[in-house]
Amino acid sequence: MLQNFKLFQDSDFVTGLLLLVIASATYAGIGSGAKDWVFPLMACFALFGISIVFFIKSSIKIFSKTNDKDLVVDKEQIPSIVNVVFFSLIVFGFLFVLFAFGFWIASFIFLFASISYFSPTKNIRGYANAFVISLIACSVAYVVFTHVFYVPFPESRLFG
Amino acid sequence: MIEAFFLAISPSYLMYMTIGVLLGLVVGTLPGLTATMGTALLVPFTFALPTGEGIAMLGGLYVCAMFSDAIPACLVNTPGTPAAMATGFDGHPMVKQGRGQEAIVAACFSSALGTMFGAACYLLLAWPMISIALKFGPPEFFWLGIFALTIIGSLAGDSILKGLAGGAIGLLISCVGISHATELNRFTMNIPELRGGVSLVAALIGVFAVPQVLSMILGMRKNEYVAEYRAEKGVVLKTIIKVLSRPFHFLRSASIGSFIGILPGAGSPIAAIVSYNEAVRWSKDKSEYGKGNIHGVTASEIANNAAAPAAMIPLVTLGVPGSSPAAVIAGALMLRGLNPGPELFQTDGVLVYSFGWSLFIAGIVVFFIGMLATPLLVKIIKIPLRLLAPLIMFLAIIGAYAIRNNIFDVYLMLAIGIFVFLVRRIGFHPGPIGLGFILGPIIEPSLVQALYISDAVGVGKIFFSGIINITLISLSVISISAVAFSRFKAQKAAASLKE
Repeated sequence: MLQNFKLFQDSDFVTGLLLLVIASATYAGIGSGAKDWVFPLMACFALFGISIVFFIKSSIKIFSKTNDKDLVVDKEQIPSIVNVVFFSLIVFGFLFVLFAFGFWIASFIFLFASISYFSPTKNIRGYANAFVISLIACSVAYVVFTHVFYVPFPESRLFG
Repeated sequence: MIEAFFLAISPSYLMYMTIGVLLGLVVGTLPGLTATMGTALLVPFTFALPTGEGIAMLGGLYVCAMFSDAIPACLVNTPGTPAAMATGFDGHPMVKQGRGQEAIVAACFSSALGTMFGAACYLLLAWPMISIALKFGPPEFFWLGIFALTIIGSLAGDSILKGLAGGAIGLLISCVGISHATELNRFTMNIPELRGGVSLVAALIGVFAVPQVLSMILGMRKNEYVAEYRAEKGVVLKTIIKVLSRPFHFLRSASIGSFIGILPGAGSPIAAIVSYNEAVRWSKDKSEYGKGNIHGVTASEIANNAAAPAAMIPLVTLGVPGSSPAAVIAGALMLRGLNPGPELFQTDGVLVYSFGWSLFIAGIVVFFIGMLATPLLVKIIKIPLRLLAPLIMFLAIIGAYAIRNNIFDVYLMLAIGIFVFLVRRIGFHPGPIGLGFILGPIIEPSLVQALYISDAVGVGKIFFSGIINITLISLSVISISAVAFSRFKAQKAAASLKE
């Protein structure tokens, strides 16, 4: 069991597995009609071939007991990974509220929340800075995209 | 032609062309806004102007967007338009080494030179060049795409296999949507939004911008800025001398850019990729590329800017636009009752040549405006990562949304971005994925069309005959062999060092 887990610390094994999954999923979606599918089929077979090479490479390393451990996460990296996950959640939250609150409010909340979260000084001055920067960025983006390039931003479904 | 020159340097021509250049600076710098979108949005404003001034303004925007897209590509590794993808390969490492100003100056000066070369081809060599371009059919385009794909060898990073796999993944993403052969839905998973395919711009923002932002956040605890920045005196002159010290490199990149610009459908992104590939292939030390080599930036920028005026050559000679912005300019001419094509030379020769001169002068204007803007633009890297990361993500989301006003493109961009961020961890480079995605729409339709033709005459005769096919196949084989040989040599050297 532990040996199986260690396999996932080797980037070659993970690469082989990932490519196999992509190639299999692609192959499952391929239909009939030579000219429609010849190109994706070529790319798919290339991925199958490359995944086999990576499996062979990692098998050789297993037998010679020289497995790489290049995917091990250090304890020091965990706070940074938490930051990435939290920021990704803020981004998805932004997309969620974009249609509910419209461009202005959603963009402002997104920028203010993320700038405040990453700010090293969590005091009134830090929040005031985040407020001003978010407001300026939203205003500039709004003017450039809507008044110069005529991009119709989503409007609020709640406030009209 | 002399009369056209004096017209092009008249104050009204210069003023409107400069306005176009300034707008191009904004369009290219913002990821998500393309030169096509910029020219299309500007067309209604040009109706109030005389025809010559109107198309000069559109041309100015087009060529400047081909320069300014290099700014985000270098500073934050996010190409402003697809044409700057290859610029970031060396431009961003230069910025990380504290050579941000040098990277932007090199991009600006080489863009100006490339534009002037392309415009000179437009003015002097339009007819001979078009006769060669007309010999390009589907099989030739297919091999051109394959040749461009060989650049993966230089971009793959530590593992060429991971580079090839990345390229194949990019090609597969480009297959999503309606097929070119019988209009069959492919990999759409019954999602209506996917029938139109994955938006090129949204996908490229996903491949380059999103992983970059997430990496910034990951490294935020160690680094406060993208890179150190220190203004140095004399950088402009030194960089210009560096660019000028390689006249053969300039001629090669500009010729590639001009020629590919003429080919309808190929355009600036392919020109930049092929030119970068050739710069690597001709280099004595190939390992320097991708690590901050100034000639990587210039190869890409000279070619993508030379391709812009050259894309107008088939428009004015045959009535066939060489690129999407050229198609918009064709539309602008047609709306004024002018038919682009051979007749235009006879009926409005002065207009055709004054447009060529305007593009030439636009190259010079791009240089001066770029030089004025560089000290300001390069300060972007002085913005702390904690501010820069949310701001880039904000622009990336708006940019991906703006291209088709479709929120689904934003979801796709984020999905692709998170995927690329994760596969970077296992040694994949974003370059080959983006490359596969750009080249897929060139290679696949050409392959399908060539296969249809081959039903009548045989595959061998279609794909493996003709001087252009043989030349492109030979170049592809040479390119792959050169990369394989240099990697073998590097591995051998590393092994002997270990011993």
